[in-house]
Amino acid sequence: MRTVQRDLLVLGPLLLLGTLALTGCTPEPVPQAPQASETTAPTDAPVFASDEEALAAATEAYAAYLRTSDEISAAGGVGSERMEPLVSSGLLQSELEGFQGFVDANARSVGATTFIVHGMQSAAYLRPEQTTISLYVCENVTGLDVIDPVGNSLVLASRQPITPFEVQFKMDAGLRLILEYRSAWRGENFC
Amino acid sequence: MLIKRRVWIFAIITVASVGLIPLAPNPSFADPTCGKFEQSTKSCPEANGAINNGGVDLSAGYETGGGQGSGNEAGGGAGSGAGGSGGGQVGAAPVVDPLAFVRDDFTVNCIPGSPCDPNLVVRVSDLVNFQPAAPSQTMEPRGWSVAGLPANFIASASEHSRTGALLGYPAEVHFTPVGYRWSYGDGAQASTNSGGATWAALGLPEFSDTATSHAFASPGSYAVVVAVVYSAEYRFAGLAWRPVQGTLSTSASPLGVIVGDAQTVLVNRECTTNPAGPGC
Repeated sequence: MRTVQRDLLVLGPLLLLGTLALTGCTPEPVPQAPQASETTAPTDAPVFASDEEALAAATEAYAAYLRTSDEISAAGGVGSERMEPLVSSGLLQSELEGFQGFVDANARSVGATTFIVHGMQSAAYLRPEQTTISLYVCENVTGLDVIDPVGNSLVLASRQPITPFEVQFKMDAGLRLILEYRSAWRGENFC
Repeated sequence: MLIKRRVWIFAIITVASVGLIPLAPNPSFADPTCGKFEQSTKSCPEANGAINNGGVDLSAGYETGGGQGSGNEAGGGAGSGAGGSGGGQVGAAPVVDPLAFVRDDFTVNCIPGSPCDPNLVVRVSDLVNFQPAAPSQTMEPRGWSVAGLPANFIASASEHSRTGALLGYPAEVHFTPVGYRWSYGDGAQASTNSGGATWAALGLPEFSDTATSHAFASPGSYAVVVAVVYSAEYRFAGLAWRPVQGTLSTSASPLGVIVGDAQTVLVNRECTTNPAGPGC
C-alpha cells in the first residue's frame, strides 16, 4: 500500500506535466489577452515588411544625414558632434575631419546637397542586430556653394558636382538606422 | 503540429540569417569617406571623374528615384524633410517583385539574381561588359627560328581588375591568369601553366627545350598565337569576392615566325669572302 501511494505521488506531477505539455499541441489554442509586460509582436518577425519599406527607411535616414551635414557645413563646421547619432563610431572620425576643412578655411556652405537613390544593393532585415541595407546613391552638390568670410566662392571650376556613392546602414540598439559605410564608387560612374 | 511548423519556420529564418552574414562589407575595401569640405569644393578623389559620359547602362534591376541621371532629384539636404518625401523617392517599383523567396533552404527578402542573392551564380558568359587584358608575346630568336631546333616562346599576363556593370549592377571583376594556350601555326598546339621565360632567365643555353618552346619541322612562315586563360572573381560594391564559374581566354596578336633551314658544311674560308669556295 505504501508502495502504491508512493507511485501515485510520483505519477501525479508527471501526468500534470504531460497534460500541460499536450495543451500546446492542440490545434487551436485559446487566445489569451496579452499581459502588460508582454509584447504582441513575434520575436522572429522581420524588421521591415518588404524591401520597399527597408529602402524607404534607409532613404529617409540618408536624407537626415545629408541635411545635418549641410547644416553643419553652413555653420562653418561648428557643431559637427550632431553627426554622432546618425553615423557609426567608425565613420564618425572621418566625418568630423571632413568638417574640419570648413573650420580651417573659415568657410561655410550655402545651399543644399541633393541625392537620388540609384538602386538598392542589398537588404537583410530579419533581425534588428543583423539589419544591413546598402544603397547606390548619386549625390549632387550643384546647389551647394562654399564661401569664405568675404563671400568669395572656394569651389574649384573642376569640381565634379555629381558623385556616386555606396552607402550602408545598420540598425543600432535603439532600432535606428545609422550610417556605417559611405564611400565614393571608384568604378564606372553610374550616376 | 502547430508547434512543429513554427519551429520549422524559425529554423529557416535562422539559416537565412547565417547565410546573409558574409554579405557584410569587406573592411579592406572600405575607403575613407569623402570629406564634406573636399566634396563641396573639389571632388571626391576616389570617385570616377566621368559624369554621364561613357557610363554603362544600368537600367535593369532596382531603379528608384524616378529614373536615372539628375533629372529627378529628391532633396536630401537642408530644407527637405526627412519624413514622407525625404530624399530619393521610392515611387518606382523594382522590375522584379521583391518578395521573400525560399531556395535551397534559404529564406531571403531579396530579388533573385540581385547582389544580395546568396545563391547568385555568375558565369563567364555574364562578363560581357568586362574585357580582360590581352597577353604580351615574344620569342627567342626574335622573329625567326631554325627548323628542327626549339624556338622559345614567352607570354606574359598579370592579375588585373575591371569595373563595369554586372547583371545590371556596378561591380568589379578581378582576372587571374591560370594558363596559356599556344597555337604554333603548323598544326601543333600546347597548353602550359606558365607563360615561359627567356633562356637566360632559365639559365639554359640558346635553342634549349623549355616548357613553352616549339620546334618547327619545316622551313616556312608561321603565325603563332597565344591565348591567356583567366579565372575571374567578382564583387558588387562593398561585398565579398565571389568566384565566377568557368574560365575565359584572350588572345594576343599573332606573332610571325620565319623558319629557315640550316646545314653544317666545312668551308675553306668565310663564304662572303670566297663565295665560290667549297661548301659555299
